[in-house]
Amino acid sequence: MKVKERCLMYAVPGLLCLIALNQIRLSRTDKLVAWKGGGFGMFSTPDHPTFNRLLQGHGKDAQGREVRIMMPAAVSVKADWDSRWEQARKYPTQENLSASLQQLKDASISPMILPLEEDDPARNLRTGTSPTDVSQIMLTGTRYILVPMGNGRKVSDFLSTVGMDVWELRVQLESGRIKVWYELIATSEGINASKS
Amino acid sequence: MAFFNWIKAKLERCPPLVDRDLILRLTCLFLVLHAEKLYFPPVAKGIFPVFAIVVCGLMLAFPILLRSRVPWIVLSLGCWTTILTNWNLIDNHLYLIGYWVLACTLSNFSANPVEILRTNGRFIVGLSFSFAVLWKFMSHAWLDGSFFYMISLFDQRIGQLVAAIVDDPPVWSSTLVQLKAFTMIPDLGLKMEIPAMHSLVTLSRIACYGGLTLEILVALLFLLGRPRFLLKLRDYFLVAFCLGAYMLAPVYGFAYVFSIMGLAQCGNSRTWTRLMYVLLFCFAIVMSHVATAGVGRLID
Repeated sequence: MKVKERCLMYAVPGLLCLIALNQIRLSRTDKLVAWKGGGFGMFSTPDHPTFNRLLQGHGKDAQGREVRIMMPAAVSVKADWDSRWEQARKYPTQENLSASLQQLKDASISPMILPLEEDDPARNLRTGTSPTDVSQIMLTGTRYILVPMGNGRKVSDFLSTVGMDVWELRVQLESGRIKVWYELIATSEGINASKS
Repeated sequence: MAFFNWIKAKLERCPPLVDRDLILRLTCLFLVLHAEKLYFPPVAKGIFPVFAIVVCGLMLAFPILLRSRVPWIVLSLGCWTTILTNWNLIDNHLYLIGYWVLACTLSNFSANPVEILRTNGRFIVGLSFSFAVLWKFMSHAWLDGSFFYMISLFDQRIGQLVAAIVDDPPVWSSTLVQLKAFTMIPDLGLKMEIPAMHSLVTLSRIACYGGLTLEILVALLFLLGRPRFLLKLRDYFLVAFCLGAYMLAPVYGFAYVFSIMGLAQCGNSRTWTRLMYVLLFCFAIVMSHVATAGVGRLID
């Protein structure tokens, strides 16, 4: 067989192997989600990028208390935010986390779950939306804020630093019990959230 | 039996179903029918479907273009620009579409285009299943059955089917509520541990190992032609996989592309097998429209 014919015949399978092997490498080194990237890892892990990989913001308010910011999964928001957050969720490199962090810093937030303390400045950001069931969150002692519904105030209005974490759902079926937990797979350093 | 023999005789008298034009036409038809349903990030969503429908529509309307290199080069460039600019956001079947469109393009440069399509069809199916198998072996959740257990709880479509099979609906509902609450408002420091339903554990392991066995067989048979005694059944395994898997998780983009590639690698003498792939293609058309009307966008 001529060289040209051989190239035409095997070019596509060769390209497929290169992309798939690279996807496996990136999933090991940079935590690229198994479902994406052309490696045919869909339906092999439970960390579905939209439903079971969590992007979570964290920050500190003016008093230095920790605030956690729960990012919406699969919520229609502004396209560029959605895309950046999707990037960070599916491929959480420092570059993607930093880009989404910048977006978070400038995002408008509408807290749905009130902080516990009376004097917390975030309490003033209440927009009238209330959680249907806060008992579970109250028990954890962590204050959550849901972002971004677009009609609240800027994150930088009440947080001094913001950072970003990506968590992956893990499942284990063992001795008649199912164990479910989240594992931290990537985190970014907190950045100054002030407007300047 | 006489009826089937009569149909077979009629079909054998037809011109060969697997000729190059048929494969290229089905590829264009698939893109015309399905491009708009593919999942794209916001920017590409407005551009790629229109582009694909225009290029493929022209090739269908003017069949002389099917064997022309230029439209296929344009289509390949469009596909791969979309894939490479959204490489970590798009679904895997878009990559398969990209590979197949590229194979169709390259076949137009060859002295033996049918052989190019046949070889590429076989290799792309074999390699994609091989990597899918490799991922399942690397996954922490596949071999113990926990993947299917979780997906049946999280995915509404699979869940409805499984709920009808498991024998303890109250336990099912309670588990579902606990898991949903945990993942919607997770306490990231905690590990949730709840009793598993015995019937669902059994079902999950059957589904995981059954699916994995079928994928291994398809990968080996398409890629290596081994084991030999099962070689004649390879197309049936592929179709069984498409019907089984995509009834549960209806990702019809895969079923479409596999039916076209299956047809392309199938010899001209295998009348029933060719008919089976054409029927799989029709099944994908019907089901993708039913799913779109009823369920909306499906996972992955």
